[in-house]
Amino acid sequence: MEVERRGVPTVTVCTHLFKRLGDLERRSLGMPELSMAVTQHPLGGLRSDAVLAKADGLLEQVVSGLTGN
Amino acid sequence: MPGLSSKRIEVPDEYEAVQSLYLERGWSDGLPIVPPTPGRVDAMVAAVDLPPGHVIAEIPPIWGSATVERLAINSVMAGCLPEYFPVIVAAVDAMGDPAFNLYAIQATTHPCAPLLIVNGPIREALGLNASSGAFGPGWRANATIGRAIRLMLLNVGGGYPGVGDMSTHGAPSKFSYCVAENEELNPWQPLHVDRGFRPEQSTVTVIAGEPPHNVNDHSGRSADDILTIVAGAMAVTGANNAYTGGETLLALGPEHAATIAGDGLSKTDVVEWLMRRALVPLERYTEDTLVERFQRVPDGPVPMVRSTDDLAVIVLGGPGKHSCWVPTFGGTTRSVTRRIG
Repeated sequence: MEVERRGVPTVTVCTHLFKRLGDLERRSLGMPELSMAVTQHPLGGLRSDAVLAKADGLLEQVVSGLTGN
Repeated sequence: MPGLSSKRIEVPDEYEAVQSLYLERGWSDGLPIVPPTPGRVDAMVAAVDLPPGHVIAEIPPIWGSATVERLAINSVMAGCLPEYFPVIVAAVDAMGDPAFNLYAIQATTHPCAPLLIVNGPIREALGLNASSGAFGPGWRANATIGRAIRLMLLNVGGGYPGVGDMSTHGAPSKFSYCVAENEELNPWQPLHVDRGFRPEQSTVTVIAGEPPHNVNDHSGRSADDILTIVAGAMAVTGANNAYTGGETLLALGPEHAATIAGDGLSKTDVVEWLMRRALVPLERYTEDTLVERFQRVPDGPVPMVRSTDDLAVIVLGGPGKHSCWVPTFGGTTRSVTRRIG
């Protein structure tokens, strides 16, 4: 949020089970529009190929969050 | 003195109606509460020399303002007596210190909760238990001060399980977690004096602890015997502190403390001893885990106490050959001490 406030487009990556906490936090800190890219839980304990697959799956959301398109 | 400003809610003067209201609206920890009537809240506020609207801290994850009035409401609900209230105000002030990192403590999947450790003459004045069963039930001050903190974290901070508090399992210490140090049976100086306060001052220290892990040593006759068992109990693979360091708490039972001090060790000696000996052997991890958690296979075993600042030592409990170790959230939180009143 601090980075976004300083004018650097920012996207927060979280899993679907943590989206509610992310929503709560961005609303509470007055940045409800802060972009989030959401992937299926979990992020931890994954093998490298699964991490890369998740990153690929998130790419569209991340680009859209950064560009606003 | 300005009056209370919270919204008033009319409810029939019946036990079931009051309890249902609080449980249905999610304003409770699941247990019945004491109704925070204006008279009771006024009496709580009057126990500190601060206006009701004064903000002590902003409480994450929803960053609600912990005003004196809101703290008083939650303290009444918890069953506190007004004379307990200065402890709660000081503890919330401590939790608002950035070094404590309350956001992480509230929201993490780890089962930590703010543990309150009270020092100084207020322990006796309030009837706080520092002896047998200090972490357990039976003492109004311990039980309700700790509960007031939890109700505040829920109601002001929005730390509801699965929403603002993502702790995978939670912990019984998330209901209430408050002790006083057993200064009378402490062979060294108490925690607050270690931290620069005078013995006659009263303080509260907050530390983001897991529930206590027991250390049983019924056979130890020397400091080395006992500390070897303590070191073994601390050297666990899965503690946050193994991965990220940070400060943990060693609560020595009075009998263990007496044996250790009797061998001439100071508290600093205890900490340095454990820096050398509370080590997790690398063979307890897989190579994959070591690389993942430490970026490479470390040169030697993993220390559980990385510096002399990374272990707080107190004396706690009653008769018996037990001590306990309280791991914490890890390297991104520090304990904080505040004077009470």
